[in-house]
Amino acid sequence: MPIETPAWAQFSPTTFAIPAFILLILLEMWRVRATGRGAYEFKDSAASLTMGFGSTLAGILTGGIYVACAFGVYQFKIFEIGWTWWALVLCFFAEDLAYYWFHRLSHERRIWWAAHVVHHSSQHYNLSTALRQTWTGALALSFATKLPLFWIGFPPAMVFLFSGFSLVYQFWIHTEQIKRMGPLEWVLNTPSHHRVHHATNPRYLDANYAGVLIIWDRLFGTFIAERDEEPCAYGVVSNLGTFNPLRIAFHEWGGMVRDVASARGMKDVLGYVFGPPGWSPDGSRRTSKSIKEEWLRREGASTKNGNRDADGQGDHVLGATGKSALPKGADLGRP
Amino acid sequence: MIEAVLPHILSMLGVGVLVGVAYLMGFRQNVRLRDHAHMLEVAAAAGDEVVHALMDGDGKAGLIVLRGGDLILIKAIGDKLGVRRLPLDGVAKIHLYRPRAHRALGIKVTTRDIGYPDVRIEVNDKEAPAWLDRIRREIG
Repeated sequence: MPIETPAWAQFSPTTFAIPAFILLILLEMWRVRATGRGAYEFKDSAASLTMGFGSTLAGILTGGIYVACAFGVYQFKIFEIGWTWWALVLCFFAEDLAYYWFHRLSHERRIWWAAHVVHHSSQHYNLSTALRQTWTGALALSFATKLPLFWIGFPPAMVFLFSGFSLVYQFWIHTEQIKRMGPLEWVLNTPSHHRVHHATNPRYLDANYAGVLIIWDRLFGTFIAERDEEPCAYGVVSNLGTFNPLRIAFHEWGGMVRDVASARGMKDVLGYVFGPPGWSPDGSRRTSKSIKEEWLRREGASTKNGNRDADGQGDHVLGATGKSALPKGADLGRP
Repeated sequence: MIEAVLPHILSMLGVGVLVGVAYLMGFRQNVRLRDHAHMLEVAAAAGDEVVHALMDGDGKAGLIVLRGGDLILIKAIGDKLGVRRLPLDGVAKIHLYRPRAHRALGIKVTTRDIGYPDVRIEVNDKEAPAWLDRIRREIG
């Protein structure tokens, strides 16, 4: 006998949250204007919000793939789990853990990064950035890490509900207006933790993949705390030079297709598609790992030579010595 | 039908309102490279030695050649600079053109990445520097 979704659970949290999103963005803009803390740029916000709007349309077109897979897997469920209070508690934790792994893979494997990079492509970090969402998530089968939940026996509607709550939760943490949240920083994903996640500083790369609970990062060794002395530089390592939504949505896919077309064998194809972003057969391109290793080498060299900064932290951003690397006699051209 | 479409229409209106408010509140800054020192400071993140550099007369863009042969492209994008380091084969074409405005020479750099569209550098010099010609020949 099929398990029925209770009436109270038959709604989409994200749809209901849209008016709150709009009000909070207006409030944040006002605060940025009033205090000078944080930043907005109208073309950047237009791009982010257009991506967000486009993602809802893409969801209508491609979301069926996820729903079909969810119900397909649910047919083979191990347990018959109903809408009980303990199932809701378990599902919350299970969905959040599945989100952690989805998110981690979205950064560590290029095929999923091609979809997820959109969310990181703004050099701003404000509430409009939260809505800069991918159009191609379902095509990349980004939902694969959620499928075990249906196999275990959690009703698809229950999982979708918690995914919706998670998405709504993650909206408000995209802000520079909230600094720290005391003891909540231990358990919850907070604006501070998520700022680190969006930062391109080598120290902060590949960290804080949490959805709602930061405990997963602490558990799996991917947690990095924000340092006051090292402000986050937002964006991606190779920043975009455009606000065009189509270019934002598809640029990494284009790069991947180009690389695959030039591959010299199946090993290269697999590397370009499932390797880490930046992977190349000869290792000439930069990956998060190589950037971090280079930074650590410099940090080590800097410490050895006694060249630490006044605050004792060494160089804060990769090579950002603040000094010109220009040799004598280099050709500067004339503007 | 209307119930299904209404949230999307409202979302679209919301996007329009928010962008309009952002514009009216003055969030429309345009960053520029101040001078060569600023451009080199931006490029310093690459860590390598700069051998050639060319900056747009209005500070909207810049092109840097590093010792190892890689290029750095800098482009003003809203209130931020979009900086991209790429090997020479990451550039599809460097095209010279006659600018319509007050500058004498325009240089258009086209990368192979659709996420980093054409960079245009317009300068007062009538001729492209010799090193740029060499790079153009290498790209072919």
